[in-house]
Amino acid sequence: MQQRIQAAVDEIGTVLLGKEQQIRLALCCLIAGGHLLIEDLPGMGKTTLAHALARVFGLDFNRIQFTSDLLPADILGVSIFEQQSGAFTFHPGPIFRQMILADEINRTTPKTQSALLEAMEEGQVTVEGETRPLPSPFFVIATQNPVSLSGTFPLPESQLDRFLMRIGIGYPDPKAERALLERSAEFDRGDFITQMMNVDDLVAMRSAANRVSLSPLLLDYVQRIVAHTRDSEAFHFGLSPRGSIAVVRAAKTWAFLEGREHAVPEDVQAILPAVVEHRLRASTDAEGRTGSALAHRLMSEVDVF
Amino acid sequence: MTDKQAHIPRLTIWWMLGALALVVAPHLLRLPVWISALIVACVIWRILIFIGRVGFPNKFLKIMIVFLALPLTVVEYRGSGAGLDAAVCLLILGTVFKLLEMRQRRDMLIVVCLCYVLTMVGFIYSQTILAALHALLTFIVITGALVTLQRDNQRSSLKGNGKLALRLVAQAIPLAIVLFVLVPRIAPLWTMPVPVSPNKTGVTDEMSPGNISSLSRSAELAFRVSFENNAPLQDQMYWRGLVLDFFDGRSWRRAGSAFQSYAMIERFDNRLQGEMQGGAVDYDVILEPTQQSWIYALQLADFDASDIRQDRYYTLHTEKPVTQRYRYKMRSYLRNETDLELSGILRSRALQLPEPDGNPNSHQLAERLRAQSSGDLDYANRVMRYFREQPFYYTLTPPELGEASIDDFLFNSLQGFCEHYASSFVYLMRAAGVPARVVVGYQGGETNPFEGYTMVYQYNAHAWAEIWLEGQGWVRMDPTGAVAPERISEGAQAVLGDQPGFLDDSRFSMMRFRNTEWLNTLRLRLDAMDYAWNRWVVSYDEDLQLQLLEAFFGDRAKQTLLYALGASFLLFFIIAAFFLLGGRKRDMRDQATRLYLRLLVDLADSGLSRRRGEGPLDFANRVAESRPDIAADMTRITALYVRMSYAQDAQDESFGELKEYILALRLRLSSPWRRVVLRNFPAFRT
Repeated sequence: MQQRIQAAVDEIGTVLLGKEQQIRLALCCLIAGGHLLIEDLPGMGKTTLAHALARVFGLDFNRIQFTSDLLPADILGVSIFEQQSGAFTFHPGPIFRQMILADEINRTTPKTQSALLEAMEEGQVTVEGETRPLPSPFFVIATQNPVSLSGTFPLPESQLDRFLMRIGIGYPDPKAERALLERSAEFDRGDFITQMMNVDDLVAMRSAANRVSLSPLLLDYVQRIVAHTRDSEAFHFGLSPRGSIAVVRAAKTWAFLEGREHAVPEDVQAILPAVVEHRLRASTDAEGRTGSALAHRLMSEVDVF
Repeated sequence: MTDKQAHIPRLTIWWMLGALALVVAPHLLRLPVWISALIVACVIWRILIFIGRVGFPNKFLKIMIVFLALPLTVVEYRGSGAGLDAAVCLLILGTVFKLLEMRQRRDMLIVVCLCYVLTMVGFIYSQTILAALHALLTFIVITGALVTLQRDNQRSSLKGNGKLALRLVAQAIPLAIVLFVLVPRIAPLWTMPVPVSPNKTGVTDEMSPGNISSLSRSAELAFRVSFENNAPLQDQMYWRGLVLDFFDGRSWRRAGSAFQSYAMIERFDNRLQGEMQGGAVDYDVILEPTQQSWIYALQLADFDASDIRQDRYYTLHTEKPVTQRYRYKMRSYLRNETDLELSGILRSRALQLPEPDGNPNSHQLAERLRAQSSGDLDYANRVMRYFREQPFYYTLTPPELGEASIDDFLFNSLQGFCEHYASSFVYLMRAAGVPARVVVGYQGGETNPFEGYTMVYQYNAHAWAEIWLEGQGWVRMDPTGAVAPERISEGAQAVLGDQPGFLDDSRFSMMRFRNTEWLNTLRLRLDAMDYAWNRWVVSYDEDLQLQLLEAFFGDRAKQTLLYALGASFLLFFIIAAFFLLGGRKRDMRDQATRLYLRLLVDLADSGLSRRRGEGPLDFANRVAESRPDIAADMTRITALYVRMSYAQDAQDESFGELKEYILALRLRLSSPWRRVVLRNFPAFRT
């Protein structure tokens, strides 16, 4: 199984060069059944990564470009009166797919944002009083531009919390960039990705990740981390229980990706920046920019055992 | 900014200043004026800093103040000898100076601690109920300051903080009482040079005309007595202090007082020398500090205390001057016979008369009365009758006596206080060849109706005589009783109350208002409270503790107490250990961690320390990179350790394996000498 995962990682790596760690984190997020938030500047390959992820699993994929005039109905769907039958029929919106790429989610209004986020949390949408289940599995990969850019509606903490992970992609290193420049122009789309796995594999991997064992020693470590975020003056507020559950869930999946049957502190440390940084705010940060480098601070301040 | 450097909340400063004022106030009057002024100035300065008028003193100024205050204090206290006063003074100055640089929490905590200490120091100077109440109040305020420091500012209110402080102190009181009662009293390892309070005089070891009557000007308490059963009658309460048997024509002294040394005072079995014939009274005395080394008791005293000696005059002495309240238990046999055989030296001392003797008239009187009488006792009674029948007048303010004091008194002034009567009586006895001596002490006392104990004041000071009669030994004779019988039967204040000069030194004493009923009741009540306090709290010592414990636990109280204390300490530590160590089951997992951590220590010694927060696998990789020679070992150990610590199915056999590998690696890392130790002594492996 691990070889197949590695193969999938390598496959995605052919379009997103030199970003294996980010790819593994994204995979980890998907396998853990969480939604992923990719935050970076435009043109860094956010969409490419999302696209490649969908294709590698062969998932039913749709992309919604969020704009400032997008309405909830544009995502969820509407009932339209049909003259032949004389009744309203529901026309499902683009959200009824296994994988959604919500592109530039922070460019739309909070109203629309929350419609999407509700769907993410519940796994169902309610339109005109009728509740409709979303397909399973259901993933949202949202991308957003950094908050400092103009024309954005930043996601509030309560909604950031619903993403299992937030990752950035970052500039490629010089070697990868050279390779990128040398290749032909049409190669930069995810369409060239071949499917490596299917939905059943995903389900199997998810249950395998769930079987990864957690020792008391490891849970102690996680609890120390969580307690530190709550006690230390460096943080504006501490991690919520949802946050600590997310840490454990992601750590288990990471351990599975690493081919271990038990989670070790390194697993926690590997996923920690992605899982906790968007849930925390440094106490020195009054503007609500949730902080990077906070996880590194946590790791260096909390004893492993 | 860490917690300790945080600034002090404003409210806290007020609390702190209040606490400091309370702490320092009782010392202010006692300290030299310039120091008191300095203290007040510092406090005012701090308040000015607080309200923003002036800034903190700069470094130079602070150093200046300290370097000026230090030598000045030394000079101030140079003469006194006792280091305690100077030390207390320096402590107070230090505390007040600290106030001037109290900027941060840490400084404040220091001042708080110093205030607690200073409050306790106050007890060196005063142990009254008032002092205790003051200390209690001070503790509450200091604790209040501490509370405001710990609470965040928003929730602080004067009332709330005060309440919490009150509650904290109230909760501490029961514990303090238990500790006070139960903790074994261990004699101090050093003696404190206790400050001597001046101006306090009691009966001295020299009696000259006027010095006992001067005591009647004072309403100071001399001692308090509680009788176990019935108190003897007023006219039986002769509290013997000293026997004065050397007369130089004017004043009486102890024979050989010039070369009196402690070695001469011997304790001997008074059962042989003095016959105790019943009339036993048991009582308990709390003596106010006298700065003298003799104590007062009824004739004939018997006691158990090992620090009291009885000399051959049956007077009682302590090893050291009584500088603090001193409590002792006595049993006195009021019917007694002492010295049925009078030894040569005592007899010659009891017959001593000044040479040359300038009282011819008195001698004539003695010879005349002697010739008329049938024996020594008859002679003594005739002298007493002489005092009674002649127009002698008992007064506090007798006229000055001339050179021949006895003649002048007996035939000229005829006015005198008890020392005049005792002195002339003994003189007349000796002149007729009857062994006699002067005894000084106190007579009578006032019974406190609320608690039933007897208060003896300085104005109860008295002098009387003892004569030696064949077959009866020493017999007490009180010529004052012949002149002013009420003095003996009703007490000093009954007789002296109206006389000019009485209690002149105690102008504001409540004693002066004893005729106003409610004030008198108040006085007696307050004294009763003070007495109970002294009896049960201040003088609570090993003996009293033992008594109390025996009442509860029976004869083996001491052992029981020690066992109980030991057991409770043990229990405390066990409970503490349980809370500190407990909760975590010590299984193989923990042992593996311990072994692994031990290995980390060795690795750190050889320059490879794990970073904080670094996981074992990452660390192993780093070690493998920098030390390829131990890479294989490290990887294997780490894999095992991680399996043991983090995997569900940690097998116990892999623990043995881990132990082996870790030991092997540690042996490789160690120096040759350590290798030997590690290999041969398993105890050093953890």
